[in-house]
Order: sequence, then structure tokens, then C-alpha cells
Amino acid sequence: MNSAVPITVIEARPETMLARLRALWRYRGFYGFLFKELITRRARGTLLGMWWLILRPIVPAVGLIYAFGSVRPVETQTAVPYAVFFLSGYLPVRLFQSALRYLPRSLGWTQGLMRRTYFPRLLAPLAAFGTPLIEFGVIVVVFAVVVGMTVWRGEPFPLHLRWDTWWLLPCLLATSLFSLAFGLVFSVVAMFFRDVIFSLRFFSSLLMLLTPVIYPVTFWPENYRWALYAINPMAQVVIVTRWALTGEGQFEPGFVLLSFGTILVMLAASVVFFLRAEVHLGDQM
Amino acid sequence: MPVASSASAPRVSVERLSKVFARHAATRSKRGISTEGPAALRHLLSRVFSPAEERETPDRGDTRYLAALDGASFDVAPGEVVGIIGRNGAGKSTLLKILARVLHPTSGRVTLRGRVVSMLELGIGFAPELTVRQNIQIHGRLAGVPARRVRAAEEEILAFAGLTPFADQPLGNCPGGSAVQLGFSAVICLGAEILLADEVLAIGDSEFRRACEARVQASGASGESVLFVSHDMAAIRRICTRVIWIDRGRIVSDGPTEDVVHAYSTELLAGRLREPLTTEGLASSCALLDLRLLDNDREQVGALQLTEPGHIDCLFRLSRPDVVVLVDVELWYGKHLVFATTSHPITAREHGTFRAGVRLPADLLNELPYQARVRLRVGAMGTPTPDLAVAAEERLDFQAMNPHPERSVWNDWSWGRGGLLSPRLSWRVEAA
Repeated sequence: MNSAVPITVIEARPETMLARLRALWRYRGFYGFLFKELITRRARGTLLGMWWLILRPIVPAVGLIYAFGSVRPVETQTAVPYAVFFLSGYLPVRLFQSALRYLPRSLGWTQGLMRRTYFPRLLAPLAAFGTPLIEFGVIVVVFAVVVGMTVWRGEPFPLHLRWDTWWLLPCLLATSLFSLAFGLVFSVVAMFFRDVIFSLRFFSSLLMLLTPVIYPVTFWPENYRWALYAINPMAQVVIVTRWALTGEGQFEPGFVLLSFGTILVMLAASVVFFLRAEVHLGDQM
Repeated sequence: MPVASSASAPRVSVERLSKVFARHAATRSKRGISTEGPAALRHLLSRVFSPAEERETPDRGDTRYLAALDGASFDVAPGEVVGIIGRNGAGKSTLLKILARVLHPTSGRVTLRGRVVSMLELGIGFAPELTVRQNIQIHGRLAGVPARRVRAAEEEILAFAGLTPFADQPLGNCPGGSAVQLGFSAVICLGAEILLADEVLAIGDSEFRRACEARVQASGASGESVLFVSHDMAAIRRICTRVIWIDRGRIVSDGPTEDVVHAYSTELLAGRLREPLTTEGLASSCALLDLRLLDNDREQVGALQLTEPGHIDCLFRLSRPDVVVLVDVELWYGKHLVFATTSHPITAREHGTFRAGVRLPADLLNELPYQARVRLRVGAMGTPTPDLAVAAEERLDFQAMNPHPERSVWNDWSWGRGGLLSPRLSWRVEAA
């Protein structure tokens, strides 16, 4: 035999973090399988099947539009219709909430695989992003329909699309990374306590109240707004997304930098935590 | 990734490999729900937040730790088929799981030269909902074989596994043992260099078993190495060129198959299976030597065939006379108790070694992974049954298989059958 074979060395001291991040790339073919598997597995054995992917995000979105559209929580002096105002902020929040719902369960879902074979465990939470992305896409469609209905009713086009709209991309990226940070930590904790999966739902609802989604940020006293931005990076993400789409609100570079910086620090910490915990996960299964 | 081209270097090198598990004390809530979660999580966090150097190394005598593997070293040359034997809980599966990178070692070093395909844990393959073709793709991707090569080998794999007619059916719906046949065929046809197999050759139909064994014996020429854990001494004797015997995490013996298997069989009657639960009272006078699964011919196996009777058998030693012993056997499936049975009181006038077992009739179990839990209870002669002290407890995982779905009493067997048991019942239909 003269063909080259790969050499794997297993030692008590884990491989360097860099080497393990590089291993993610080697397993990209497997990632594709896991990504599809984690989307479709929930549909199995249900009557509505994949329709759940569409129904689940639509129902609360439509409910919230009606609830807060008819009974305004605060007098929003907005130039755009309330539904457009609400949805433009709800877009990143929904992505965050969905990810917080599915990422922590990813290790539990792949446990059967992990007991039998090796793959970089980081792939599991990363592959769980499929369902949140689809649910996010559904909200984008709802948003487009609401905008279309506004124009159809004869009102002016509610969006203000311009060069600054590119800020949407950093905002969505920041949302994904922020939810990934939570997902990495809580997927590990959920291996020991399944309770966190349920309690995270309350946490994400609470976070939504602390985020100017259903109300404009002017609702908060101006002197205390920095505190809101400091404890909740999602607040700036929502404000910038809404500003990029509708021109509503203000773009404050200092606070944006603070929030995005916080997210990156949290992500780095959670990746280090996950990679350190990864090697011991097998003992728990 | 470093790459080697030397053919003479060992495929697998294991150097002073150890694995220590922490035993976590269960926290009991007021309502009586007991969980190991808090202690286990605290342990994980302590290891995540403290660097490796500062960690305390557990003492051998420390009961909070369990050394499942304790400084094992060996090499496997290209083309060798190595059997790993030992009693229930000796550390065989732990060793295989470390090689498959499912568990992380506590100390020591493993070098694997080649692509690895692992078949761990009995039961239906790893993605029972996916079709056979998709499963082949996964096997290939996990072993690091390019997708193009996997597609090229697909038909060959299907043919070798005898699964061509089932190619587009979910693996879970295929006849029992399909997952194993598929995994094995994948290794052979995809050209992975190292195969790790846990008790798998015991299942699968006899025709396939013969084909596999022939192929494994021929693998010396192509240089594939196989590590095979089994309780099935007959299978070990047939296919292995060398056997490693592990007990309490250490290698007892490593050599030619016949020598090691013979030594193992004679030694089995001497040692006890676990440290005693108590060292006081009558309970300490009874030691569980072995717990095993036997087939109809009373040969030790790792899986039961549904169409034949089997036995759950325990071997125990009494170090004093005039005691009464009860053996409880419970069969569990996950969290469900399938049945429980207790022997009649065994009164021993003399001390010595005894064998007690329960016979499982044919056509009773379903095609599932089960766990047998065996408890020995001891007391002085004349003690009422509830007052007997527990002397030993042991668990044994095994799989029940249907080796000949086509010959079974159920002609639709390939679609599986629900329920914790699948007994043979009779029907009567008549005009009323």
C-alpha cells in the first residue's frame, strides 16, 4: 500500500482551538446532511408536516400586529403604518427568538449520532440554524405582504430604501451571532437540565419587552437609554434595522459600535466555553 | 492533516490509555425526583474553567471516580483482526469509544493511521428514518471519503449488504441487522482502513455473517485492520487472529486467539465482577462473578435471536454456608419495565460457586435493545423475603434480533412490529 492515509492523534490534552475550528471545514459534507436532518426531523409524525415551519412564525406575528395595532401600547407618532413599524423591528427579534428556541436542543437531537460516531460537536448548534432561517424568511414574506397591502390601500410606499439600507446585513449577522452565543452555552447546559429549554422561552419574551419592537425607543426616558443599550444589544439591532428599512428613528454610531462589540465578545466567550466543554460531553451521554 | 505513506507502521497505536469517569451524587428534591444533573454540571464547569495542569488527579481508591480504562497499551498492525474480550463492564466498550472519538481519554495517547468507520452500540443504525442510500452517503462523509467515490461505490455496497431491493426504503424498515450489514459493506467497499465494531457480527443473517467473516479473514491482504468487541466466543474464535483480554480497565492478556480465549474461560470462575457493595454482614459473603447472555446452546453471545430461546445467567459464589439467596431479574426497555421475575429461595448448605439463570422462551421479545438488571439478595436461613440484604447488582445491555425475517412466523416482519414484547399468540377465527 502506498496511498497516503490521514493520521489522527487522540490525546488527553485536546487539540488546539484553531485545529478544531479547521476541522469544521473538513466535515462540511456532513454539515449539509445535519442541516437538512434538523429541519425535517420535527416534521415527522405530525399531521401538518412541513407546514408547521410556516404556521409557527405566522400565527404570533399576525396576532401581535392585531393586538398592538388596535390597542396601541403607547401613542406612536410614526410616519409609517403601525404594522410596518412593528414588523420592521420584529424581523431580527423573530430570528433571535427562533434561534433561541432551536439551538439549545441541537445537542439533544443529535445525541443518538454523537453516541455512535465522531464529528465536531460544534456542527450541531450550527446546523440547527435551518429552522430559524426558514421562520425568518416567512416573516420577511409577511412583511412584504403588509407593505403591499399598504400601497394597495392607496397610502404612500412605507419603506425608505436607500444606500444606508445595507445596514440590514450587519444587523442580521449580529442577530445570528448573538443567538449563536446563547445557543452554544445553553445547548451544553440543556444536556444536564432540560429546564433551560423551556425557561429560555420566557427569557426571550422578556427580552422582547426590553427591546423597542412594539414601541419606539422614545418611550424610554432619554437619560436612561444608554442603560438599555448596555444590557440589551438587541435594542440597537432593532433600531438600526427599522431605521435602515423605513428611515424611522436615529442612527447613533457610538451605541451601534457598543452593541456589536458586546455581541462579538459574548460570541468569543461562548465559543471558547463550548470547545472546552465539547471533549467532556461524551461522559454525559 | 499529517499524512503518512508507510505501510509497516501500526494502524492503531494505543499508549497508556486511561479513562476515568466521575460518579455524581444524585440530588434529591423534596418531591423525591432524583437527578445527577447539578453534580454533573458542576463537575463539567470545574473542568471547563480550570486549566488541565491544576486539576487533581483522582486516587485509585477514591470511590467518587471509576477508572473504566487504566493504562492500556497495544498496537494493531495493518491486516490484523483483533478481538477484545472481557466481562460485562470491563472497559471494552470504553476503549472502542475512545478510538472512535466519542469519549475523550483522561490520559494517554492514541494514533490512528487511516480512515475510521465505527459501528458502536447495538440497535438499528444511526439514521433509521433515512433511506439506505442516504445512510451510505453519511457513512462515506463521516469517514472522509469524497462524495463522488461514495456514489461510485454505492451499487457495490448495496449488493454486498444484500440490500439492493431496499435501496430507497428507510433503514429502520429493513430486516433486522441491515444497519450492521450496511456499515460493514461500507467499510469494505469504501476502503476505510480501520473498522471499530462493537458486538455487531453477532447479528445479521447467517449468510451475511459467513460472507463478512470470509472478507475479514481476507483483509490481511488489503491491509484493513479490525477491532472487534464481543461476548460471542465462537465468533471471536472464527474471525480473530489475535485477542486482547481486558479486566477492570487493564489488559490481562494479549496474544493468539486460542490461548487467550482459553485462559479467559478458565479464569472467569475465579474473580468477582465488582467490588462488593458492603463488607459487613451476610451480604459480603455473596459475590457476583459474572452476568451473561447465553443462546440456546448455552454459548455466550452479545445478542439474542428472537426465534430461539436464550438465557440470562449469573454466576455467584457464597463464602459461607447456611444462607438463603434470592435472584431478581428485571428486563427493561429504556424507562419501561418489561417484566420482573424472582427465583425461588436458594438455600445453600455448603459454600461454593452457583449458577442461576432465567430462560427466555423463543418468540417472546421484540426487536429492541433491552437491559437486564440482576440483583442478588442474601439473608440468614429463615429470614423473611423482604428483609434480605442486597449483596450485588449488575446490568447487562443486549439486543434482540430477528435473524431470519423471511422464515419467521410473521410474514410482514420486515416492517417491524410495535410493543415492548412480540410474543407468539394464536388466533381463532370462526363464524359466530
